[in-house]
Amino acid sequence: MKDKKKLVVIGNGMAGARTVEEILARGGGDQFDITMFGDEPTGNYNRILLSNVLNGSYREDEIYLNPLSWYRENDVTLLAGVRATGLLRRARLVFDEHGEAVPYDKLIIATGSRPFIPQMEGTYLADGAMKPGVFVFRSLEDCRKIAAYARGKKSAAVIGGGLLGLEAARGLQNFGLEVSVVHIGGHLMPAQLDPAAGEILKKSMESLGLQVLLKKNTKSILGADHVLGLRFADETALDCDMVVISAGIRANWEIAAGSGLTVERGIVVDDHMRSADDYNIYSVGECAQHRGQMYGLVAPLWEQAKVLADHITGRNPNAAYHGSKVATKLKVMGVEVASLGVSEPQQPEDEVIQFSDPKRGTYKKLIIRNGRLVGGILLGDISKAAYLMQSFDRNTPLPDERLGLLFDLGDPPQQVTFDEMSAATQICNCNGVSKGAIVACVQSGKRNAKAVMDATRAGMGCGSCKAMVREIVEWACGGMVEEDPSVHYYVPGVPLAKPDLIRAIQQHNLRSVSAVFDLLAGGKEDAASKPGLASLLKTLWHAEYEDEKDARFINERVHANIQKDGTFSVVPQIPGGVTSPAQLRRIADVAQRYHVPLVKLTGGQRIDLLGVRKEDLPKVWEDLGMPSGYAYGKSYRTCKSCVGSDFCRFGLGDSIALALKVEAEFQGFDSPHKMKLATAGCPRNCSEAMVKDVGAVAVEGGRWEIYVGGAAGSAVRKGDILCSASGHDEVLKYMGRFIQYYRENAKYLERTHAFVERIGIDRIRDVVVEDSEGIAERLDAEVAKSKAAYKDPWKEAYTSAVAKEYSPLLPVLS
Amino acid sequence: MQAFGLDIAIVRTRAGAVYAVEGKCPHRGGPLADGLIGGTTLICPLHAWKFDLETGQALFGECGIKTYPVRVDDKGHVLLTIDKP
Repeated sequence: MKDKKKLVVIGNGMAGARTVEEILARGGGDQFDITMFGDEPTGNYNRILLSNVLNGSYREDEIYLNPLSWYRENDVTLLAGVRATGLLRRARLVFDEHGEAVPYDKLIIATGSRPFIPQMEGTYLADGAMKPGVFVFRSLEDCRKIAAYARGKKSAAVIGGGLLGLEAARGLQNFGLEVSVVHIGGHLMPAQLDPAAGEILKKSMESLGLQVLLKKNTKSILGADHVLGLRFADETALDCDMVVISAGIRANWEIAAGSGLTVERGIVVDDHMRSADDYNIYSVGECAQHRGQMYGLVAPLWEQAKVLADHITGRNPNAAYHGSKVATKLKVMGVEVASLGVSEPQQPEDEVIQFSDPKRGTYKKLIIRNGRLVGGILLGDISKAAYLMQSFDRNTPLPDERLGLLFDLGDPPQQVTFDEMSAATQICNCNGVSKGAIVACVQSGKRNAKAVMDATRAGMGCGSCKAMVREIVEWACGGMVEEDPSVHYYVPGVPLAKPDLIRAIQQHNLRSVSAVFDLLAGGKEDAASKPGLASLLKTLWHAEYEDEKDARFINERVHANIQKDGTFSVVPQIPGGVTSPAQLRRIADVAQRYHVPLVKLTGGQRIDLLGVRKEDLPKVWEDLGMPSGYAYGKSYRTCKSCVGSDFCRFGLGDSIALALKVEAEFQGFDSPHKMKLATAGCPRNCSEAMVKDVGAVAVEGGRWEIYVGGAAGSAVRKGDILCSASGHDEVLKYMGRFIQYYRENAKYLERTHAFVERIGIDRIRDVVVEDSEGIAERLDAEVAKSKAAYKDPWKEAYTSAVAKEYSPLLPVLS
Repeated sequence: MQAFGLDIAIVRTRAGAVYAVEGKCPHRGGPLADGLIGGTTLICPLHAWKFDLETGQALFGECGIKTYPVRVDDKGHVLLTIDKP
């Protein structure tokens, strides 16, 4: 396009290059021919990482943001290693150091800053060059020179105790030098810290081998033709072989001032990042002064770059920069620091909250004005930084509980929260029930949690909000909550707790769900109680359980998981996630034959055929010729495994073989809720065995650690170690005992994580491992009976031909 | 079953009573014929909404289901009365 305007950018540092990126992102490449001056001979690199290059943790090539190829690919002309020295605004020309002129229509000055070198005798040689051994620390080139000179030297001094000085000091330590930090002020990092925090940081730095000299005004650098030491204003001296000056920065504004633009500490810009004097000239980054502020951190710079790009491209002519709130998290020699806003109270009404633990190197201080955060320092422990920075940035009101701002004290008391919580706050995210709806329900007369849940459906989805619903009900009842006796029952429709219910079932020899209702519930059926009773009866009677189809939930009735459209998902058994080409081919054939709309890998290392019509189920199973994977049941589901010791170079135990044995042992086991298992061949835990209902993790020495009560669903919990077992058989024994104990003692729909927390792992271990109740043998025998009673329900279904069970249609006569 | 373009769930309870109701749950269209029954309560298999088979009323919420007059003759045929749509 020949009408393209000429955009010239002076400066190829982080601000200049980022601004060009933002301009290109807004289609600026079609509007402008872009030329950039960069006085360093390279592409643009991340200056923040320079200290990491110095200390050797990064290579030079790792810190480049835009390599030279980036400029070519984006049609940006980079004048690398060319310094812009003059600006003639009337002619719209920029001159380089050789007198060559480059014309512009729009100009961006992003010249950044340079190190400030205080007045000290002996900094320079007679010819004006810096004395050998004296360095600044700003560019890659500086890095290289420092590294080259440091070899073989014994000691170094860093002048300046700011962030950059401390980072330089750390870099120098890595060359084996004795390093002293010489600081003119009374405490380290004055821009971020107050004196108390500075003192604690000083101790931390000293414990890392750094010498810190405060209140030392360096008067001269000693040595005739190379550095030998420093002399201070108080006439003391320090021997050193080299010195790095890191005493702050000064904006590079000369080119702007020389052309008559307004310059104070930096180039003065308006809210569009435009020069106050010339609308064709913008400035961004460390050289720009906006509303009296200068910024040396990247976050404000990114904001400025966006505003500038929006404005210069016309994408948003009203784009305005309003200044940045400065908050930063950083690491100084491994010590974490977060700093936000001011570091000292500035008005009489400012509140100061402070905690100091010098021995552990921890310091926290917040400055609060009108209930909002205006400043803060966190040193050593910055765990609350994310929350505080967000409050600071958004200027949100802080909770009255100030202690919780500095420390994690667990959950704040809910009562306070419920009062404050707005009525519209959604409590049950599955069914979309708000706090207001729950409160209204209580006010309408439902005065216990179960009644409210039944009426509003809160807590009836995944169930993870039940505890909160209960608490809101109690809160809304104001102490007038009515006890609902059914919470202690195994199922709501039979008024007996689980142990009493089991005793009654065994005593009266009740083998079917209807028999239980007849004898124990006065003949009154309760639909919602049926699946729980069916599960328990099957666990107690094994093969002698009298099955009644109407007692089963649809999934258990048709051995498949019902989907939102009334179709079903079919998951065949794939023990340990190990399959074969022949099996895969068969699955593929079935999927094609029955037009299965979605074939998906499950989280349990199996294959799910979704969208199967009910009437097709028996044929699908028969054609698959694989047993049910029980992906629908309140039962043992599957056992994941990692590749274990056969192939994995880290494997300590054969996790695949164990998973196959686990599947053979527990397949088809009914249980109060689903049970998902896993085996892991080493503590890297690739199969996530530690967050399974039951998991086994191989450890060195041929042993397995058995985890129980893990969860990684609507609740997330790392399992507790039940015991360690030697060999696969012992693993199966303890797994089986735990599973049987869970089957007999958990409430219906109580997952193992809730069960383990309710009973306590110590108690479970006593019973299951130590056999404190003398029931271990019986538990083992029950497991054996359940194992013997296993029949593949799919095979039963397609061989016994109860086809009408799967038919949706009755024949219509007329 | 489907008749005259309607989805109808016909159920028989353990006590022997036969009911015919609208086949789709008003909540998310769950297949009520696949639900659980106890006494005269029907529970939808998808999200456990509960309805009374006699009246069609939901046991919570406002939305009920349609019920149809039904009887079983001596040959075992289920006779259903549906208003012409």
